[in-house]
Amino acid sequence: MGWWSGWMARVRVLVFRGREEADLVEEMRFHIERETEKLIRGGMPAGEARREAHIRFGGVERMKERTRDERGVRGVEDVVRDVRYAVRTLVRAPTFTIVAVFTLSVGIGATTAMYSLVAGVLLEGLPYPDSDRIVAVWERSDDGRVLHASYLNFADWRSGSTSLEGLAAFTPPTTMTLVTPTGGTRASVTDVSADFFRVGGVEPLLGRTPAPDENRPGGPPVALVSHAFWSQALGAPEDLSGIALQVRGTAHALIGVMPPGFELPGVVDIWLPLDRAVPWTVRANHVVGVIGRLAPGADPARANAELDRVHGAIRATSSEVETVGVTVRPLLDQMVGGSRRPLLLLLGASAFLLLVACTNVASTLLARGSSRRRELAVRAALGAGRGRLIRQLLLEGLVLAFLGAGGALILGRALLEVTGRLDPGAIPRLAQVGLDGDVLLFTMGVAVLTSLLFGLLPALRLTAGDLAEAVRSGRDGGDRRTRFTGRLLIAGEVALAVILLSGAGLLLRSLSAILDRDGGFRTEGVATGQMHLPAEKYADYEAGFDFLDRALREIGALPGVEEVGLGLTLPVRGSSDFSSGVLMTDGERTETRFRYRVVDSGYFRTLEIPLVEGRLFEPADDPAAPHVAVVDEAMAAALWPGESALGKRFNPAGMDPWPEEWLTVVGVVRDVGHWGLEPGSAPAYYVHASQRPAFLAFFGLHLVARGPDASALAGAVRERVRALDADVPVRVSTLSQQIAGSAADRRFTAFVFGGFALLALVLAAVGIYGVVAYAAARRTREMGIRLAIGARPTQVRDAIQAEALGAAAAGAALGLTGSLVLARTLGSLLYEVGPGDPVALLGGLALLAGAVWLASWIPARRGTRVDPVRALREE
Amino acid sequence: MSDERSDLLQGTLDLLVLRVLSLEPMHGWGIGERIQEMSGEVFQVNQGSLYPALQRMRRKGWIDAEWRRTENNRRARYYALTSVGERRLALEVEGWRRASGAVERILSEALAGR
Repeated sequence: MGWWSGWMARVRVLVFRGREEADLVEEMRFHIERETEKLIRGGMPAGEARREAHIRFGGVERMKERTRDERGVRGVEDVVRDVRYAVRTLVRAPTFTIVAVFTLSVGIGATTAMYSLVAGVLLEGLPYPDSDRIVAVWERSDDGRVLHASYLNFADWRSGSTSLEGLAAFTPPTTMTLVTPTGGTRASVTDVSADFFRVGGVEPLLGRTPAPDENRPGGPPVALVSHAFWSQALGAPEDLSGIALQVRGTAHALIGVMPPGFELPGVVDIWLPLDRAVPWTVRANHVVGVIGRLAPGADPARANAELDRVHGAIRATSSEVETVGVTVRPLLDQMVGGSRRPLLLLLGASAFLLLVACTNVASTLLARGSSRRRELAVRAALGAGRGRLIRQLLLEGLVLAFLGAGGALILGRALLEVTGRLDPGAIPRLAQVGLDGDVLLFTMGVAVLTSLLFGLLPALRLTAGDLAEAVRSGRDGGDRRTRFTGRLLIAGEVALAVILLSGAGLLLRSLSAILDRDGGFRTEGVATGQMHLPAEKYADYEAGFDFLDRALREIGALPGVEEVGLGLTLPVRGSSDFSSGVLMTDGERTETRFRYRVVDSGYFRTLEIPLVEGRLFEPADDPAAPHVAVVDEAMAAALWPGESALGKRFNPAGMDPWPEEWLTVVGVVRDVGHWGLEPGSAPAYYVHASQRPAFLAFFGLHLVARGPDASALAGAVRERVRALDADVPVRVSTLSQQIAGSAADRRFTAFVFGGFALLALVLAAVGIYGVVAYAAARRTREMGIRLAIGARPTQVRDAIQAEALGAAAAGAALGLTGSLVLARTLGSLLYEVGPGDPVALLGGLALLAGAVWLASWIPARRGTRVDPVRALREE
Repeated sequence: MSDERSDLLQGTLDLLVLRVLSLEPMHGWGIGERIQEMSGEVFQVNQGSLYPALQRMRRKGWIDAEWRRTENNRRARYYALTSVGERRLALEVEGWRRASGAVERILSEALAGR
């Protein structure tokens, strides 16, 4: 156990250092005393004895040193001492320290915030057991698009798949009113098939999931609720027996509560059994989402291939199947895949910003280092090797970096808070994101790396060459290589800033291009209201349409309102879209899919969708009359090229509950672009709302109204609806807001990128300012001479400024090349903006040029305000 | 007498210190005195080597240190042998005996060959 007590001795020495020192001193004193006594006993006089004893003992200090050396903790003690020295040095230069720490906080903070986003959103698994085994299954059309599955297809897949050990369908969650024992409330409801909870792999917190014989046609109405709903809306009752929820007019018995965090297929309050009463009888109704769990040993590719075969078999037996196959994707991928590129891009941008910060601090250290040469020379003279000096300088950098990391954590936290509040829809799974252990570790690692990045170059430069010689000859800091390094750093900073600025410019221009797009309909002044009529109250369609008629009339009568209308969906993202192929009169089914819209005439008028031929819907087009449709130009051209579409007939192939019903075209309207698609690329046909009431009742609808002030109108809509019936939940907004909301993730990316670019610009400017100021201060003598022999102050100032500008220009040129590379990388994130877009680049460059010019002009000018006589006297 | 006092190599110093401490625990000054005395005044320990050596042996766990009162009621740091130190002493003794035996043989042979 010798080595153990040896290590304990080391630890003891480190911890009780003061006492160890005192012990050493006392021990030596004792020794000298005893020796003195011995000599006195031998006859030597006292004074001489003491002197002799000391001489015999030898050098006390050296002995102490050697003893300390033997303790084995020299290395650690040195480091501790260096750290304390570093802290003292930093405290002595408060301005520099504060600016440097702040710069580093910004750089490290940005990187930390972005990493925590990436880690929380992209890397962190879903909170279900073996969540990487859960997949989402879609149907695939022949043009490669993915669609919701149809229930009947899903049922056939279920029986035919072996690589999936569980397959479940669900309806997209809808918000509706329902009645609980404590009263009426709104909740998000989804219907899920039998295996749903098994696929999720999570056991209920309370109660149970539906038994196999319950989730089948004609089974009992039961329900499971989320933890949040259970505690907030129901009051967290421990005993679930006897609790029933009135949903869609039926009482569902509460049988279980899911634990918090179970968010399949999204943030849902209530799960109802789907297989009980399936409302779809046609294969072409693509309305359910499907998730599955891979069997052990299977992977998504195998499952995909197998389901493709099964689907192919179904296709062979049924002519109704118009999709060609399936697409199987891991669930996490499905949820966050779209955010992958933007988030990684932002992480890269933050890394660039960090580099700018490092370059900044490095160039400042270098510039400031000139004044430290003297001190370093003294230390070198006292025996410190170059390695030791470099280690000390690096340690200083490490202290700065850790202070910066501390500030970064605060900044990063604030940045995440702000993000969450501003744009909750932009990033999926934002709730997962937080500054947890992983992120902290990352931050520390970044801090260490950063300190090396900005510290190594100055440390090497400052300790190079014969320090004593440099100090003596007075050339400290004026060393050519040091100045060159300084200019190199400025160029680097500017290059990085240019790249960031150009990227930001491109993204912002893309954003504005998207938002300004003409989708073929009017957005100005349009307010929207999304609502859902509770089934118990509006069990028959007459009551429902009655209510809607009254609502439309009253809103239309409000002062300033120009038009009102209603529709199943809006042409913005987030509004579900329904589509199918259609049957033609000669029995042929089309290859193309057409979008299916349920609207009234007011819809066209409110959104100013012009009528090209024929007529819009009229009150006479009621359920008893022949069913009619209005098609858009693209569909007319696709199905009946060269002739008028009026009077032609087609069958929506089971999109609605009348499979034998044929629609007659009565009008043609201009194309409208559904979000993300150009007008004309998504041909659509419209059916009259009163002839398709089922859709409105099941899925909810949108009211649209147009007036001079959209937001005021939105408020008025809500009031009117509430006044008519307080039980109808309505969510109002303006169409412009909805469109902007559709671009939420683009906006997020563009703004954050822009923020980083701006910060880089500020940092670069501050860095240049600092370097030029130092340069000017150092060259006071030279400037004094110039002024004394007759140079004009402006000439001297220009000379100093020119140096900085030259470096900046070189950096800008490098940056421009880099920005072209960046633009190519951005690729698909850009919209209607090419990589070489001049406006974006020029804008960024102009901004940078202005900042750089100012940052070098001010200190240079300040430097020339020097009295030549005083400058010459100064040394 | 002081002229013939020889310098001690580090390894030998360790051996002698361990030997002295095997007799009884002792403070630093006492160790030096004892070695000097037991060697018949041949070896005078250099303090500059003694204390660092004591520290080194502490670090290696061969000896322990403890503050005690001397007979004159003064505070001094006493060193004592540990069990590890005892084993080390045995090793060092054996090593020394073997080395010095070998040196002796060489010298005898050389002399005999003359």
